[in-house]
Amino acid sequence: MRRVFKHIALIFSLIMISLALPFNSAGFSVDYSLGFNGHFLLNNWTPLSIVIDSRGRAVSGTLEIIVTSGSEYQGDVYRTVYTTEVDLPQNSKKQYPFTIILKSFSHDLIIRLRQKNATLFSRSINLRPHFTEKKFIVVAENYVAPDILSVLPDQLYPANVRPQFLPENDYGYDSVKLLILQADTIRQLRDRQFQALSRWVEQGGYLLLGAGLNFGSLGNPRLQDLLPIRVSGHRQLSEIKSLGKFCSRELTGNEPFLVLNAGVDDSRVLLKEKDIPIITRKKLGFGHIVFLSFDFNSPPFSHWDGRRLFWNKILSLQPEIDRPLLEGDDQQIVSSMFAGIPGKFPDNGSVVIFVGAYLIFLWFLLKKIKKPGKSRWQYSLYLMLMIVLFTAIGYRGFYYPDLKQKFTYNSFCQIDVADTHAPAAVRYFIGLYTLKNLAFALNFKPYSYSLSHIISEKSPTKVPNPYVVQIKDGGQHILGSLQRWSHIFYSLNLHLASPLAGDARRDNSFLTLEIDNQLPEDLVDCLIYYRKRFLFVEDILAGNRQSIKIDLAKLKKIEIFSKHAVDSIMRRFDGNESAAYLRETQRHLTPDLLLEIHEKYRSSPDSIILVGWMPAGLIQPHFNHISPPGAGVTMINWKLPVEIAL
Amino acid sequence: MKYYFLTDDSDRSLAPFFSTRLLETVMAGVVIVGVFLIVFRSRQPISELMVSGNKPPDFFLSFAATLIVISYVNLCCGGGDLVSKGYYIINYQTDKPTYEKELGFYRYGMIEFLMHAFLLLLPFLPLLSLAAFSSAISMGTFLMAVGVLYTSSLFCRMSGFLAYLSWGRSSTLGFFAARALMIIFVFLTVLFAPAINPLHLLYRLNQSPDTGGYPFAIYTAVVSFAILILILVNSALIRRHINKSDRSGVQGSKVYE
Repeated sequence: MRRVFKHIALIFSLIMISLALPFNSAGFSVDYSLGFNGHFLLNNWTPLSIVIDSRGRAVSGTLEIIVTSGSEYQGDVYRTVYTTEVDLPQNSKKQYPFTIILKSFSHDLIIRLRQKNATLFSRSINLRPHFTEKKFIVVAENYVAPDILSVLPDQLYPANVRPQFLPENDYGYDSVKLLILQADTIRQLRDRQFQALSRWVEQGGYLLLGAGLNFGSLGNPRLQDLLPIRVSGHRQLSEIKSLGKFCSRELTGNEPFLVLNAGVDDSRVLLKEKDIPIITRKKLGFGHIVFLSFDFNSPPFSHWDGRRLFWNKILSLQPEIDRPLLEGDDQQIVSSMFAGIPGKFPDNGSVVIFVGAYLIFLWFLLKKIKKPGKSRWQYSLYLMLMIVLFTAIGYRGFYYPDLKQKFTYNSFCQIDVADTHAPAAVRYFIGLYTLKNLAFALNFKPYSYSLSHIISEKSPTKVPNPYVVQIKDGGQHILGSLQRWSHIFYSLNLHLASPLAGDARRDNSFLTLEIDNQLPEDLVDCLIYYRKRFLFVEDILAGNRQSIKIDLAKLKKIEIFSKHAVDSIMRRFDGNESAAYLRETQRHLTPDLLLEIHEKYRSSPDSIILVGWMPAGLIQPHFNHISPPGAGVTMINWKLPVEIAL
Repeated sequence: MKYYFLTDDSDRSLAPFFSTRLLETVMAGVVIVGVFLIVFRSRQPISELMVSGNKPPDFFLSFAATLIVISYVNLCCGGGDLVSKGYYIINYQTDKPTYEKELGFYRYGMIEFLMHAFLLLLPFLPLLSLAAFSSAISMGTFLMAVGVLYTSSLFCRMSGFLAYLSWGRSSTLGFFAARALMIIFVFLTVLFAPAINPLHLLYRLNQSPDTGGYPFAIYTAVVSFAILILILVNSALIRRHINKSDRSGVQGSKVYE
């Protein structure tokens, strides 16, 4: 009886274990979407979406994307780690979007899910079959005409992407030349995807929107924000002959098709057929949106043999954008930041005086102490006091003022304003300097930016100090560590609403600038470049609308700019009483800046270039747990067209 | 407790605190370190050091120079080589008994050595503080480095005194043996026992002060143990000398009681 009971218990245990095992092994699944339909352009920011499906159990941990760059031959291999926290309950699914930059295809991309020290999931992706050398033309639709990719322009790499995998950052479109969507797809995008898309267009992106078949979606507020369409109705056409003029091939079909009769505010109609706008183009910031009044996925367009010509023509309509206005060399900026490091060693003169004074006092007191008698004890006491005094001077005088802050930073921000109605392009550099071993966490809320490090060309190391880019709801956080007496530079690229507004007018006698400065501080050391001449103008006060009047007769008396004039302009900078870091930055950057402006805009007599300096950082870094001292400088460049009012 | 080292400038004391020769030696030592600091201090700006990834050498060089100077001065003090010249010429060859030899080590010699090694270090402190703090060395690391100097000085002092007790003041063998021991401790240990080499430890403190606590603890433990052994041996030798003197009834501790 006991044996039978034992057998039953054993069988029951085996059954329970066999039932439990599938639950355990079911776990979760991880899927990914790299770039645009699995392809990416080297050295360009690329979207990467990871989808975790926790079918069997709750999943929590850290999702890591490890990108390895550099070459073993050059000895500059380093890893950039992007992470985000994962906390999924059982039977749920979530997409984790990243925007990464891939600089090499010879190292695998690693996707890893870690829970404390255990690795729950790890996959290496061989990047070699995924890279391309062409920019992308992306059709972001779930369903497209079968051969649409084959008729897109050859000079671009065509990719069909599911809308859910479109980037959530504007710089995720770095490698995209043209994005093709149906209007209805805009409605399906997540908020962040839509914001990224509209920012990308404003910054110079090129978007083609097809009316599609769901005309109801044209009233969607998102679409109206992007493209204010006024629908008058729709018409049935059986051909679009005007396309013959547009792209050398007429669209004809056997069956009639629907064309939307709609206008777009502040736009230009590029093609009309029977008074119906067929192709409309609207400028948005620096970018353009082209609206097609028909569905490009349906016949007769989807079977039309002129599609390649059509898409080529569409692509050729994108105007070139002159951005950035001025392109300072990263290494030169880094050098100027190095020169402006907040801490410094005591100068030689004060060290010699300190040592000399101490030796003289010591010699005098020891001489007195040598003599026997009661005064020996008195002088011994003086000696002790002197030792204490000089030690305190060594500590308070040489260490406290300059080196006590063992972690400091400085920043340089360059803002290019080309059109006050378009976002200003911002390049921001931050240098972190430490005299001690240090772990730091840094973020730049609330901005969206692409982040990369810069290695100084003077540095013997070719790889940066290690850092991790942590993606949170509030933005990116940089978690890094620095060794004693080391540094790191980060560069951020972002776009902001233009902080300057105004205009420039000229009559026979005067050039008048009306400037509204929305920056938090005054612009100082302002220089204008007009008609091949540089001229210092007054400071532009913060929060003010200011008028600057320049006598053209006086301007003409100034010698046309040449290399020789750089020194005299630099002397003006040396003479002012601005902060040391501002002076150092101006000294390093201004000569090349003046030459670049002259070279680039000497043949633009109807434009004026304004260069101003703000002795503070426009973007403030936020450090976790520590508040290191730092200095910032902002340089703003503004190109204004000059209106002539005679 | 006797304080002959404070009041008696004669050669009855191995290193009278206020003797002319000793004070001149201290002054010369400080001048050497001062010149060393000025000549060899880093002239590169912070930015260049950061670019190259180097650390300023001021701290290590100044402390290393001080270590060598102060160790040698203490070695001479322990061996009785720094008594005033006048007495030296007249009485050196006679190898006159000293207070350190005639009084119990724990009651006189050891206390004198501990105190004197510390006082000899004090005149160097302003220069050391300048070198350390202008290299952004923290107060903790500075104190550790001063601790290294003090323990090294004390070790050399005890070694010199051991040579004096073993071979006397006029012995050539004692003279060279004491200096050989100092050279082995200060320089040669870096070859076979870097953990107890003071120069190596100072270099480590210069390069990575944040991780210097553990090596400093090892160094201090080993050197303190060596000093303890030397104290015991010196004490035993003095006790034997006093007993021998008592038995012969020539000179002994009673003279100074």
